[in-house]
Amino acid sequence: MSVADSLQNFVLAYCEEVGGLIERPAFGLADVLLPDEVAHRLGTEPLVRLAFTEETAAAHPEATHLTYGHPLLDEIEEDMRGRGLALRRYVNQVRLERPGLFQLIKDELAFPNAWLQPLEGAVEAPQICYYVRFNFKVALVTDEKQEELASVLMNLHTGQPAWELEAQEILPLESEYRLRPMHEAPPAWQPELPLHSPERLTWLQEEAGRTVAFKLVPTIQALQQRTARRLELDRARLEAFYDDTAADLERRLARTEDEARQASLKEKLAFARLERERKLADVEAKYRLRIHLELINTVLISQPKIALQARVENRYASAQPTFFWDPLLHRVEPPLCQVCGRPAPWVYLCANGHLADEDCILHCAFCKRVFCALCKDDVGACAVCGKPLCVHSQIRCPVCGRVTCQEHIGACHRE
Amino acid sequence: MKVTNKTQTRPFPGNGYDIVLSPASQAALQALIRQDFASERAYWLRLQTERLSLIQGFEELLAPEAVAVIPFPYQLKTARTALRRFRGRGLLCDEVGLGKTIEAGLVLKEYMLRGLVHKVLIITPPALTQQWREEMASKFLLTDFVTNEDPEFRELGPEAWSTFDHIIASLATARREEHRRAIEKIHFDMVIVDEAHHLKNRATVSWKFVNTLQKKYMLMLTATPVQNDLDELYNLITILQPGQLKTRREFKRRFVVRGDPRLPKNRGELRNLLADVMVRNTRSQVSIRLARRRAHTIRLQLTPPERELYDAVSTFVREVLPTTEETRRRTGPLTRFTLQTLQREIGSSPLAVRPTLEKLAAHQRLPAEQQATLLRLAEQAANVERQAKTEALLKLLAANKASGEKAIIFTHYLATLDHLEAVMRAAGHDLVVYKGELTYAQKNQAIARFEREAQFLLSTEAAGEGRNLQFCRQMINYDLPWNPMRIEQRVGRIHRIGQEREVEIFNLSAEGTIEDYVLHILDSKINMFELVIGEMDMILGNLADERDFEEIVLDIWARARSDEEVSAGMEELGEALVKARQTYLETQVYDEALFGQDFGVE
Repeated sequence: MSVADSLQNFVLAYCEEVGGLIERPAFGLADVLLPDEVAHRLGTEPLVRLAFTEETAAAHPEATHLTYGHPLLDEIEEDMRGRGLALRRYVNQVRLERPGLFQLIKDELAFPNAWLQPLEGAVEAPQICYYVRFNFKVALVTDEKQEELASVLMNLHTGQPAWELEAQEILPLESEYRLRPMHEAPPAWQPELPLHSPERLTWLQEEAGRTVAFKLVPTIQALQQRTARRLELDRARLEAFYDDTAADLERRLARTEDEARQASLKEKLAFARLERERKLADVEAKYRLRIHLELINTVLISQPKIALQARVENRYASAQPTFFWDPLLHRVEPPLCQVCGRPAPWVYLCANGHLADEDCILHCAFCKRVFCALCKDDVGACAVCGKPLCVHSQIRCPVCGRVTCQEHIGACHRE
Repeated sequence: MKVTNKTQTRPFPGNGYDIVLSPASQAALQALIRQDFASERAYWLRLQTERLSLIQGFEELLAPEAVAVIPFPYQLKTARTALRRFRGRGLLCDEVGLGKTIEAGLVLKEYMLRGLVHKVLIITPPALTQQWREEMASKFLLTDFVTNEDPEFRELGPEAWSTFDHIIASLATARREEHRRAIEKIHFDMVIVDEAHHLKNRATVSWKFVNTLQKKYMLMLTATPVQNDLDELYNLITILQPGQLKTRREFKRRFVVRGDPRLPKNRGELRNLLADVMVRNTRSQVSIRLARRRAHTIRLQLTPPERELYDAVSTFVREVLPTTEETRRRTGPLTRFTLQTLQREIGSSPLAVRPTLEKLAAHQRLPAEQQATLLRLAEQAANVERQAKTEALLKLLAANKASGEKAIIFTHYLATLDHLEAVMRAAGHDLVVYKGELTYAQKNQAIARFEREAQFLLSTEAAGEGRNLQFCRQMINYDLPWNPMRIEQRVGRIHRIGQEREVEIFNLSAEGTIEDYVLHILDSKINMFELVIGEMDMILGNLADERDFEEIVLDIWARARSDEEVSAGMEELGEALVKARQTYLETQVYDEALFGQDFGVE
């Protein structure tokens, strides 16, 4: 599509959006009748003839030739900045049942220190889940600036980016909800923030900002490398210059015996040091990378998922999480680690009933119980060998009061 | 809102940068919170709006589309070089007349459009602050610059430097101790130094002051980076990029012939180092030829009543004009500025001086004797019927009428302009009037009508700032500013790049007036009207006297007790100008020999 075409599409779509009527008497030419208040806002007549190509403008001198930078286009852009800020979309075309979900959960997820058991009375039930697509304008600022648009799809319940869903080329999104009424799934992370509350959406926006930065890592790293090189060159130039200057002044200082001259040279040396600091600070400020994000608009997407509550248990504890089947991606969603909030396909059950992923747990070296990072106070270390020991396996020395493992009883206070 | 890149719960990739969420994001977030949903088309349009205005790297400049001038290709290339190669720190040394201001303005505008520059300081010689402001407003649409001469700036004192974000200041003011202390604390995003050759000596307060400024980007503009020896070049580059030319001792050892500080050695290496910070376009390189310009002086005798009035006003001015020291102490209506205005008005026409005389005569704080004198002078001005300059102008226009050649007639004063409009219309001339009080649309209409049909444009100095008036090649100075830079600005309206025909300047000069003396020294001593635009700046910059040219002229006039003394004083000033021009020409030759065409962008 040519530049003129994309401009024409944009302008005419805007005119329709604000209630204008459009006729196209010739290629690249449009007669637009705008509502009076819109025309007034844009500073134009209600009836305008617009030309989008040079040839059309030349053939129709009475038409306004719209190009980038034209004041009318600036006004349209300004007007649009207050519109189209949020969109609502629905996923309707999914099956609302998944027989044998319990077995699927068992098959797709791993519970290395626990068993998954059906929960009495629990049944598979569809629930509404939400995603929010955040569209940002990203500006990468060093001593120059480049901008791009970046989108990220975030799960409102978990605060996690929906990478797999985003990778789907076509999402079956519709403008109307066409399913039977169903409950909303509760928040899976930060449960104290209600699902559509300003606090939760603000938090999600920040998470989306971080995710966008994550997506831009290759660009950011390339930019950082370039600016680091420039900074390095500038810094090397400055340091060599001020080192040489200082060496020169010190040499002259060593040679002179005149007190007034010495004082003057010392003053110059001090000034050169100060100047060096200032110039180095100048170049560092110049090349420092800043990422400016501006949220352009959002899409709130609702999608039903099939929920099933089950029991996860071992000798020491049990939990009753709700698992979700995603009928779009055809997979069981891993539960969230209750420590870090990330999806945990390998689910450990903490001795205090928390679910955690592999990176957020500690094993007691003696009894092999698992504790998550939330329960770190229940885990100490042997004073001799340093191995982690849970409260159940710790032996307190009656002599020195320190904690040891079975193997090092009494060894804690030996010289 | 500031988002840090480290959280307790989520490891975050990348370090060494901040993520800042713009407050503008609130609108979209609030719409989501309120569930205020739009149509799909509006959503798409909103995204397209941003897509259309995305800023890319410096390969594609934004400024050319956002300024009111059409830059020449070499100016665009220079701006791009300053942005991409020099990373915003460069020495722009184009030959005079090639538009260094345009190049600097493009760079500044580009940075501002990209949001990289907010706090700007432009340092110029005192005579150029207003000109810079005009150019920034008319050519780059940067209308919020203040100068250190503005009342609101002066009222604030040193605090003004941090209060205003866009400042044009004279070097002389900025470097003064009380201002300097305030300025040194500020971090400027961009500093532009015009006529940067004033920083050639690192032992001066000026050099030290500019060197200590905290700045991210910096442009230094001069047509003559080296005037006496290579040390000057070293000093300029060291402000921009300390260490670029190594230490002073090392620079001398590697690049200056021992015993001749003007002669470089290791030219190749020196050229490579300079090319990282310096651009110098020459007229021959960029194939720019300015049309010739020719001046005609129409000398005339004032009519006896005019002469009598002129002499009487001059005598009054001489008698009461305070010395520079007295000026500071004097309060009341008869300040140096008021008296200078009286003298300039009478140089324009009796009609221009009359309102000022009447106003002063009514001033209660003046002694009765002075009030009476002023009242008598005002009556005398009202009784002047024939004006010699008006008659000469009408003759000139009549001769011009047959040829159909368009001309701009300049006068400084509205009263003179109104009078000329009446007499020209009475004589049947087709003219349009252009003055500062017209609205923007009226100004556009006036210029359009002048281009389309009217033969004459009668104008105050407001005419066509930044407008394209090259379709006209003749101008008439009905009255003459004492400041040569003001004359240059008038001429510059029609004598600029793009003018292909010879430019003719007609000066109406009444014998024995200050304007006559000024014209004499400018025209016959230094051929001012045949200089290239911009050369006058250089010559005035070389004058040893740091006072404004107008001040010097007024002092000569006021101190003289006879015509002979005026002639002698003006002759002396003329000789100083000749010397300054000679210095400029020698510098030009030296710079040409040093840099040649090695630093052009073409």
